[in-house]
Parts: sequence; C-alpha cells; structure tokens
Amino acid sequence: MSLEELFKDHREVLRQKRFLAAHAAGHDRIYRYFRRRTYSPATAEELCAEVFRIAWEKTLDRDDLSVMFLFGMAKNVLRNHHRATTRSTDLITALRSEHQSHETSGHSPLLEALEHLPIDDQEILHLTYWDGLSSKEISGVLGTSATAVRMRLHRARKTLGNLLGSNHLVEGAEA
Amino acid sequence: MKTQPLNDPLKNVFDAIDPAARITETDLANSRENSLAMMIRHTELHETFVKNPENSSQVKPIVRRTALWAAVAAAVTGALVATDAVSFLGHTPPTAEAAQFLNAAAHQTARVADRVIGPGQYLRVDTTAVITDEASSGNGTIYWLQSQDRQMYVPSDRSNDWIINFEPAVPVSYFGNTTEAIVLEVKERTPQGRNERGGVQRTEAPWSDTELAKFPREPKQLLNTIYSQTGGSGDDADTRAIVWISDRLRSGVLASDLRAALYKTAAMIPGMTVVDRQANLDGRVGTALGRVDKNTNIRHDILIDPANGEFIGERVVSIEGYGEIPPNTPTMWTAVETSVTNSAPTPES
Repeated sequence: MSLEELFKDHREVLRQKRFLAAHAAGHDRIYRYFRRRTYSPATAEELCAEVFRIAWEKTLDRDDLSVMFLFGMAKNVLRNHHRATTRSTDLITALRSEHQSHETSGHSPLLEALEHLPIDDQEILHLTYWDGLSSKEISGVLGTSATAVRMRLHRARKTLGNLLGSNHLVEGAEA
Repeated sequence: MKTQPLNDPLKNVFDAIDPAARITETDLANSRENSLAMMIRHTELHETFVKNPENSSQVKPIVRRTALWAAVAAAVTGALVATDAVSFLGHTPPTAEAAQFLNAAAHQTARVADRVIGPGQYLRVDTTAVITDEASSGNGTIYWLQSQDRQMYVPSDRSNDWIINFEPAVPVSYFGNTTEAIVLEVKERTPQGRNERGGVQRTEAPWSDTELAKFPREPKQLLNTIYSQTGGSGDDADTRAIVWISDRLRSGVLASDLRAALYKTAAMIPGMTVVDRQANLDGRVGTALGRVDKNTNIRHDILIDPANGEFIGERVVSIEGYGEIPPNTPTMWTAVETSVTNSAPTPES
C-alpha cells in the first residue's frame, strides 16, 4: 500500500470515529425529536436516518458534529418534510390531529391550551420541556437570539398559565 | 446554566403528554441501525472498491430510502426561492430615512477596498460580545450581563487553519436587587464551558469562499435567498432575516461587495427604522438601525459608522423588559473591529 493510500485510510478511520461519536451522543435525542413531531415511528426513523446521512457527508469537512448541530439539521430536515407533505393538501393538519389522537390518551387541557399559542412559541416550549434544550441552545437551533427565545418562553408560560387557569404552574418558573 | 428552572412544574405537565414516552428500546435500536446504514455502506464500499479496485464489479449501486422525498423537498425549496418573497403587503415598509442611510452606507462600504492580507499575515477580527445570562433556583431567577472578548485570526490563505482566542467570560452587571452572595455565586459559576473558560483554538471558516460567492449581490434576490434559508413567515421571517444578516456582518470576514449587498438588502426589510444617530457601542459611536418584532417586542439593531459605512456591531433591545430586566434594555450586543496582523497565537493541542 502506498503512503498516499495509508493516509487516505487513516483519514477514513478518523472520519468514522467522528461520525460514530456524533451518532452515539445524538441519535436517541434526534429520534425522540422526530417522534414528537411526526405521526409515525416509520417517518421518525426515516427522517432521523436522513439527518445522519447528511451528518456523514458533513464529516468530510467538519471536525466537530455537536448534538446542537444535529438538532439544527433535524429542524431543516423536518421543515423540508413538512413542505413536501403539504405540497398538495393540508396533510399536516390531518396528520397532526391523527398523531395526537394516536399518541395521547383522551382529553388533554394542555394540548388544547397549546393550540392557542403561535406555532413558534409551541416549538420553544417543546424544545425546552421535551427536548431539554436551554434558551441559548434553542436560539442556535432556531437561528434567533437567546433574548427572543427567553422572551417568547416567558410569554408562552404566562399564556399557558392563564389558559389552564393554574397560575401556580408558571409561578415556579417565573418567580 | 439552565434556563429552565429545576423545580418548574410545567415540566411534569409536558412529560405527561410527551409522545416520546411511548418509544420502546426496539424502536431506538431499529433507528440506530437505519441511521448507521450510510456509514456502513460507505465503509463497505471503501473496503471493497477503494482498497481493492479489482472488486469494483461486485459493488451494488447505493439506494437511499430517503432519496425520493429529499428530491421532492429540494424541488419545493427551489420553487420557494423562485417565488418573489419581497412584499410589504400587511407590513410597515422601511422608513425612507433608514433605506436612504443603508443605501448610502452600501455605496460607502463598496468603495472601501478590502484589506490586503499578505502571505504570512492574518486578518484579525476583534469581538466584544455581551449576553444576558440567567440562573434559577427555588428562590427565583437572577439575570446578569456577561462579557467576553475574542480575537479571530484569518490566514491569507483561507483554506489554512483559522485561529481563535477566547478571553475568559466575566459577569459585568446584574439586574434587579442582587445580594453579595448571589454575585459571588455567579462569579464562581462563571465561566462554565470550554469557550467561556478561554484559550486559543483552531476553528474553521463559518462559510466557504464558494458559499459566500454564491450569494446574490442583487438585494431583492438576496433577500429572497435569505427568506428561503431561514424559513418562518410574516414578522418572524423579517426578524430572522435581520439575524441572518447580522450573523454574517458580525463575522468580519465579508468582502466589501457582499457587505454592501447586505446593507441594501437590510434596506428592503419591512419595519427598518433609524433608531439612534448617536448610538454608542463599546466606545464607538454610529447610527443604529433596527426593527421591532411584534411577536416579542424585541428590537434588533445593526450599528454602522456613517463616516465610512463600516459595520460597528449589533444589539438586541427588549422593549418591554422581562423578569428583572427593565424596559428598553440592550440584552445582548456585539462590537466588531478588524485589522491586519503579522502573527497569530499558537492553538492549544
């Protein structure tokens, strides 16, 4: 084997290591991200695979694939998925309601209250409480400032408290 | 520091409706396997084709399950780019004063020759970044401003390593009634992360020269490109466009033609106004132009030196305040300055 081939092999091994490290750190969180936002396990699996397909390509020219970088890609993949599926009909609305009826058992006042919030505010709440991201991390994923995220979170909590008629739910958060 | 308070009762409420609670270990295992497939396939190809070219006839073509919908998505994205997204319908147009200033600044900055970086020299980008940080406990939430200086060194050949030096982050001021004990605790907890602790690192170009060259210089086309990349709609899309433009201007590495195009593009964003002709940012005085996001009541400003069209920095102002933060407070700002230097610090291994 020539020296050039040896170097190529070495780069390949490093690339695989980078990818496997990113996969180990981020896969489960990214899969959960999609399960929370799509209607079926198959779709979540498909979209998750797409994120790691892109991540694999990125390992060619990136040394570091952080979990937040994966979340950023997941957001774009989900957006493209929604664009594709809403192209002919308003399928997403149908899927969402189907998703909710499948995934939640019975009546949920929180789900009803969430419906009254702007989509972006719902997403910030989901990223905070479901995906466990901080305001700084969310700002990176959504491409906005951390201040805007905190402001929206503050308002969304307040609105939720009012809608649920349980101010104690947000008092602890805003004290 | 966690933004989400540890004792937040909403967490339990969201946990109760979390669809991910139904995920089984089998679901995860299947997805892990599926998402590793591309790498495994590549490795197989590498083993059989690259290392043993004589086996190339045995290699089957790669079939991606996701290829079809990805192509559809790309087609839809392309269609959106082609659509004329610039419209003031339902929005306040930029004021004539803001548009005039930005267009004039664009002409000025376009006339300024890009800095010449000779072999062995570096473009040095000095940044002072101040952010609002917060921490929560059972007793409530405290807010403070945290400042960090950094210097980025861009080599004359941009494909070589870029170097960045982070100074340690320091808390500089606190909002509301803050006790000495809290100040001490915040100081002890700051800095936290690797970057906040400071040090010299290698870094990479945020955008390749090829990528930067691809951005249209025609402002309307550029704004459409930005909208298609950032997503969102209405007011939110315009805020994201400002953030997108600020991100690139803040980098300090753009050529003058792209800087000029970004100024002209900012002049087309609905709601842009001149908010202060004598805005002071880290000791430099310039003109602040910004727009208020109606959803959050937050104003994003960019600051430009009227003398030469140079980008001074950006700031984010909370119009109504929140928590202990009073109204009209800049909750984040960044000041940028560029120069040419003959050396760069050595990165830590």
